[in-house]
Amino acid sequence: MTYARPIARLIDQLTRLPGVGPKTAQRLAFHMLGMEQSEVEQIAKSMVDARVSVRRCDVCGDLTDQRICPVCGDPGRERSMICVVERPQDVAAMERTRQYRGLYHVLHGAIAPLDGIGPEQIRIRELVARLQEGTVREVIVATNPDVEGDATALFLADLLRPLGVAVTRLARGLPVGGDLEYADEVTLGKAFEGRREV
Amino acid sequence: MRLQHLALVDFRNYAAAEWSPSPGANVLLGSNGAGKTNLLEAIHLVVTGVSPRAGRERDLVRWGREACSVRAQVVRDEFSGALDCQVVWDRQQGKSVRRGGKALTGAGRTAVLGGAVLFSPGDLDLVKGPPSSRRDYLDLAAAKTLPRYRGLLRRYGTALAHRNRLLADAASGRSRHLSLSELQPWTQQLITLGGEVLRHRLWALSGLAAPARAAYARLSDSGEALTLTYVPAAGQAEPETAGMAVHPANPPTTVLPGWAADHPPSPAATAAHLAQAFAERQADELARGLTLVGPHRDELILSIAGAPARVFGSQGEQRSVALSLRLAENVFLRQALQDTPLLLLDDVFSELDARRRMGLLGLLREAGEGHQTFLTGTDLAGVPVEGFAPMALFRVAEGRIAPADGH
Repeated sequence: MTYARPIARLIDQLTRLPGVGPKTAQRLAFHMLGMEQSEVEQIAKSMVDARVSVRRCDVCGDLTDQRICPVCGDPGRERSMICVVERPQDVAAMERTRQYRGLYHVLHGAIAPLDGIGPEQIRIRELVARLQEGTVREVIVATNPDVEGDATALFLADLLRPLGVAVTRLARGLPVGGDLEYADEVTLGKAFEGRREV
Repeated sequence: MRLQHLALVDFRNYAAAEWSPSPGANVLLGSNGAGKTNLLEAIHLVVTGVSPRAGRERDLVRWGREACSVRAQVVRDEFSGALDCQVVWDRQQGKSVRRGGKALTGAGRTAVLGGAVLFSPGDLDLVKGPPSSRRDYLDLAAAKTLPRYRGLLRRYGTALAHRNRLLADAASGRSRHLSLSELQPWTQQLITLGGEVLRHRLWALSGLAAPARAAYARLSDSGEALTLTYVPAAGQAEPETAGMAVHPANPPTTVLPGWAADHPPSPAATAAHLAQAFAERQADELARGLTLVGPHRDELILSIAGAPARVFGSQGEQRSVALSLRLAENVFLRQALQDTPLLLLDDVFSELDARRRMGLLGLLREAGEGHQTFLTGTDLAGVPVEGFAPMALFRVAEGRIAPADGH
């Protein structure tokens, strides 16, 4: 079955998106063809607007539509702490806790030699530059708990400790509010290793 | 653990088959290609969640069919009822492992590994094969008893691949000069993860060594002792050849001071050991572009009366060693899991001479009540059936399992 050329092209373009296969793309395309033209224009405009106006914050590297993101520009934030994360989505996750009042630094990746990503390919140089000002006392490394995230944390610890800042890593273990008996063996094993004196 | 009932649908050469084995020893007879090995594979699959055969699991599905199912009623102890276990392999949706009707996911799946032990003729590779086959043996025993071991091995493998890439790129001149600060995080992870792998392996070995020796003593009758020695690559000039270069009169004893099998080393001890080894081999590693230190290069040396079985053992001795290792795995799992795994012995009698057969039967008898065993063979010739007290004979032919006219 062949579609009219504009439909085929739309389906083809939609499959470029993550998580969208040919079938989903087809469904989305036909849905759009049934929408009001103004609605479709709104979607198209939002996509282009977002792409054009969103940039990385000059300071932390998080995505923003300003030169400096709201967190970095907020005088109420604690300036002695920087939480280092891999991706902008991780900042959003941390912010949802409403607990952390410090600053962020987005690396946009983790060290992974197999993918050709070394320390120069992620925003480590920018992080070191921020620390030169001397106001930061603690760097909290919140990279993912996989081997790449761990390697990045170890690299940062070796790099930053000589600068006189404390380098800490998020704890891993049992989810809060869960029953012990329902925790899987791996998580429980990790939590056991990370036990603390009460 | 006891298998009460087995039902196969479109599994390998079985279109639809049902079978109720006996609680003791089950001997499956049939010609080559009748499906005896497939039956053992099905039992292993449904109980442990994985096929023991290497290769693609999608081949489990019978030719021309979309999905296969292996379903079993398994009794874990006499107080609770039978547990409904099922594995479904669908060409579209892949594998699903179910217990009591519920699908197991991720970490839960690895927790069921310890339900069965399989000996197959290919296990001769445990003795004659490369060091990796003996490392795999220890890793399997560790994984069956420690739920997080497989994840740990995977993490170790990933960290190792990253580090090897850094070293290889630097050695081949593909990347600019490698800075040691870039290598260090990976070395550090290999020390932590590798130390854990090492401790778990030594812990497994401490439970395997004595039963392996005992089994071999029964299988050989020669009075020569089987010894399992773990030799870390660290500190060895060439670990691959260390076992081979040893003169029979001068066997490799242990490993490192203080690492007796019954005293697994502390995390601090393995970390210190690996850190020192990495420091010593750094120049070599940079020159060769390869990680030379760590459990991925360690060797488990099997020796008979002090001589490495890989090089000096006769065919018969090597077979007995391989079988002893699987029987030891069975004893080890029983102790570690407080449960009796199903013992699956594929074509075991053709591997052994008359004296060794008697030795094996003696061992199986002593394994005791409530220990369910499955043996295969082409015919009864050479199977000393009178060696079994409660034994059930079955004939496998044309995708069916039927009671055989017994003795």
